Amino acid sequence: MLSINFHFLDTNILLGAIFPNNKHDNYRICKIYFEKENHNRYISKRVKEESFNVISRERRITNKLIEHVEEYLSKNNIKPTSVESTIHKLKRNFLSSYRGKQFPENIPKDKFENTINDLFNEFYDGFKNDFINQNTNNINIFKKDINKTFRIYSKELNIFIKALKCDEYYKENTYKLLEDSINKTSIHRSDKLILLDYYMLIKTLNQNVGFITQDKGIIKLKQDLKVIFQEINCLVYYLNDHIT
Amino acid sequence: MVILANQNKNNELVDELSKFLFSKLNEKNMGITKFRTQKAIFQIKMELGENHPLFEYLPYYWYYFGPFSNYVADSYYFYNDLNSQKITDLTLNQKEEFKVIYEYFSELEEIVENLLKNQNYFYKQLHKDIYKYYAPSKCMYSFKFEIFDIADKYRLIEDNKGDSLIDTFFKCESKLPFDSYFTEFSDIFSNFTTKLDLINEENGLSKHWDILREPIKKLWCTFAEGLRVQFKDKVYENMNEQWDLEFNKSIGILNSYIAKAEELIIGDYSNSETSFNEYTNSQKRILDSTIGNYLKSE
Repeated sequence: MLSINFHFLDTNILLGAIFPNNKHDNYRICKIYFEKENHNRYISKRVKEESFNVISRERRITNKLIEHVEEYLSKNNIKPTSVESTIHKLKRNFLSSYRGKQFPENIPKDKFENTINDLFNEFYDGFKNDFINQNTNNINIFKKDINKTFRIYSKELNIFIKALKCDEYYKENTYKLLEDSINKTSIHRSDKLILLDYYMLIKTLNQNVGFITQDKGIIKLKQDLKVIFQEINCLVYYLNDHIT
Repeated sequence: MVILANQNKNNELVDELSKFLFSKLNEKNMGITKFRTQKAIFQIKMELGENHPLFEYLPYYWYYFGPFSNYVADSYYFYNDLNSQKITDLTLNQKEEFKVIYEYFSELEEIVENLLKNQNYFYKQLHKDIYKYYAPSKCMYSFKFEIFDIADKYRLIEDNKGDSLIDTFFKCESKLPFDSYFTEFSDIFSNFTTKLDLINEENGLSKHWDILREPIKKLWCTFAEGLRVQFKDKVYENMNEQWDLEFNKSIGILNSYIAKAEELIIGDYSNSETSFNEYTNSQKRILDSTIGNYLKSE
């Protein structure tokens, strides 16, 4: 990866690079990559939009969760002895609103459930106090906090992207056969088109370009992608393997 | 044959109910527009209640300006055309004219009297209360009256109104439908909200209000096309495929409206520098729970 001069960046690289406190190391690795490595870095408009989509979706889910709890609180008097069980019930009810969906709010089900569980843990004490006191003091603070958090994150992303070369590369339906081949893999729809952006960038630059990602799902399909994109030198790199 | 019979009954009932309503209005020297006729008949339907025999013969769907019925629209024009003068010239004739609703006269009298007794309420508040009490999605009141109407009615927006409009977008976002039919739309709504928030932070919305009004209005109109597919009475089921096609087409057009607006504004909301130290601990934990999970599973 380090010997390739041209890099095309996946969504997770951008989001990891601006993430302030990532216990799973993505932030540290992305930060090192951007500080130490001097390459021509490209993203597509799709990568940019998908990055904003991820932020926007996560904010929406968080706001919907808070609204779900607030609405219940506004319509019900809860006995202090029932507060804990009520909060657990509210979490179950929220999740069951998406029963049967593999991609609730366009997010894979397991990620979505982890997020909801973590958010309820984060807000639990505040919810409990509001239920006991029959007010929404903490809920109102959470709402402001949530929107401010994602506002800061979006601003960081916006500034960060300015330093990258961003363009529209692949127009959908240009290479139907290639799209059909990728459709047969397990890659999520938005990622498929991003891979086609990568393909078109290579054809445009007529250079070797590394596809840089922290998505293990794409890494697992590296060999399949080499076959699908056989006319180009398809170089997919898992960033964590190249940065220590 | 059953459908035809039902449609004939729909027509008959709506005609009679409209005539009944117009004659009551005439008694009180009150006028009515086609918009308000839609709302008034809808309110009568809701007051009658789901179990009432007439309920299913007053079919509606939800659309741009609230509950809408093709039958009520036809009935309004019918009575409008019938008289060369205003519809308020109609008077209550022999009760035999009302074949379908005759047996429900007394309860209809009570409902309509109640509806019309407060003129200020009838003309200024009823259509809003219909959203409050009957809208099929909780986001609709804010979306229609606090977002769409602002963009539709005001050529200018004051500098200090941007923050409250953004808060309304967040509030509306929190109440978007859970139904997966609206997921793609919800993504567009949330993404647009993010961009509006950035624009507001940098320059305030007033500077680019003339560009932003159209995509904001289009946002509601697209949503309403989805409402029409998902929230309609049975008699409109045969329109499902067409309305679904139109909704999906509108989604595509909406995306280009928003992309165009972004292109025109793009330079203005990316100029400030921020530091990485702005997050509080709780904000970092919120990011851990959300974006952190997204990145962790990758």
